[in-house]
Amino acid sequence: MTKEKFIEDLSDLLETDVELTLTTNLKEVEEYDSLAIMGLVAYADRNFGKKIPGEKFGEVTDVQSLIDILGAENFE
Amino acid sequence: MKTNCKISGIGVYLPSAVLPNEELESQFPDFKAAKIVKKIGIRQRHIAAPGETALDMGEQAAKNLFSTCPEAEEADFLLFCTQSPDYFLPTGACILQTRLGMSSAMGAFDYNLGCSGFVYGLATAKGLVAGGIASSVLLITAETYSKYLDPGDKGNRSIFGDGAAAVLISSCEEEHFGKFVLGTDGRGCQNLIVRNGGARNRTDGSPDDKLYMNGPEIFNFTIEVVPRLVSQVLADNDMTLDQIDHFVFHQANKYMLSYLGMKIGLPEDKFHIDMEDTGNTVSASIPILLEKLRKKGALHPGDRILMAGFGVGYSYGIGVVTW
Repeated sequence: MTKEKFIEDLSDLLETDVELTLTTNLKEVEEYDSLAIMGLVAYADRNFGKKIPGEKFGEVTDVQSLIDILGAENFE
Repeated sequence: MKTNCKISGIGVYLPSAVLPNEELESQFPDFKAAKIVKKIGIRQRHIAAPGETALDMGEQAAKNLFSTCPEAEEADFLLFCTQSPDYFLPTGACILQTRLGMSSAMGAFDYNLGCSGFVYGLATAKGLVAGGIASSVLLITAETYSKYLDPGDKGNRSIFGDGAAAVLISSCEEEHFGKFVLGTDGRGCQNLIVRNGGARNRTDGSPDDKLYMNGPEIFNFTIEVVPRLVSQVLADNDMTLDQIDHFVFHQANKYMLSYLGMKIGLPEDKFHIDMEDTGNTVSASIPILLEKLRKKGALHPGDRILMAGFGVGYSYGIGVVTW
């Protein structure tokens, strides 16, 4: 998956008006909440067949850090 | 003695007070009522009154059952499932036997399970009837998680609702209960827990006195376990997915269920999701949904219902029951 595609998907998932980039701090995005994390759990399973431990989502800072948690190997 | 089982009646009780999304929105500025309905599928939840317990609610559910299904009063076994018992001891089921005016010549016990509790109750009732120990079982599931929630915990307050259900399982000539698949994985015990208040840790005023749920981990667990369970229970019952008329899963939240339904490939018209007015009522959620479906006229004699309960423990159970 390209990072651009992921940012597009993430924007849809969060339903946010914030213009997301790799360096956007997700902790400052209001829509990055427990519901968004639930969506990301499903996203990781659906797209990468990957189980992300719940506590990892607490370590997320910017969009790049989320990509790292999802597994950098899954991105071009 | 007849040793086969069927569900003969359902009674439901919901506390009168409700907590609508709008009230949560007024308490929490960042709570968006519309988003909650859309994502988790809940508009309101019923909340037990301060002096009202799961046992009280279970009693009312049983009385509601008795009014439509008088033979339930003659049940010779009572199973009471709750994680909010009135007392450490005595057993709630014993108190219910007397409050409900039932015969003293009955077996009765409590068991502590959450979201898997109803399916475990059906499986246990099947064993009691098949073993000739009981001829009919009154299964009561009642829960008041609201009493364990921190008032500031908007996430869990938006999900959980209180509720109770009473179901009569009767012996009959023809078997209506298929094979059950039960499972347990205590490695997940820390992910949905009230740490304090039992014998290990006394209450100390800390957040550990309240319910803690690691939502993402619970979701991971269901994604891993539920699709496998569905395949297994179908294989064990020599059935295929298209032979099931209704999929009635524990009503955890709409988002999780929708994802599970998509992953397993459940037909939308047969996969019932309805917790808008009740929220996640833990062990009562499956019978509450069954009663909603029955009232709508959606359940017909001979319909095959696949029921699945999964959650706290971790504990999970799944089975196929013919209506």
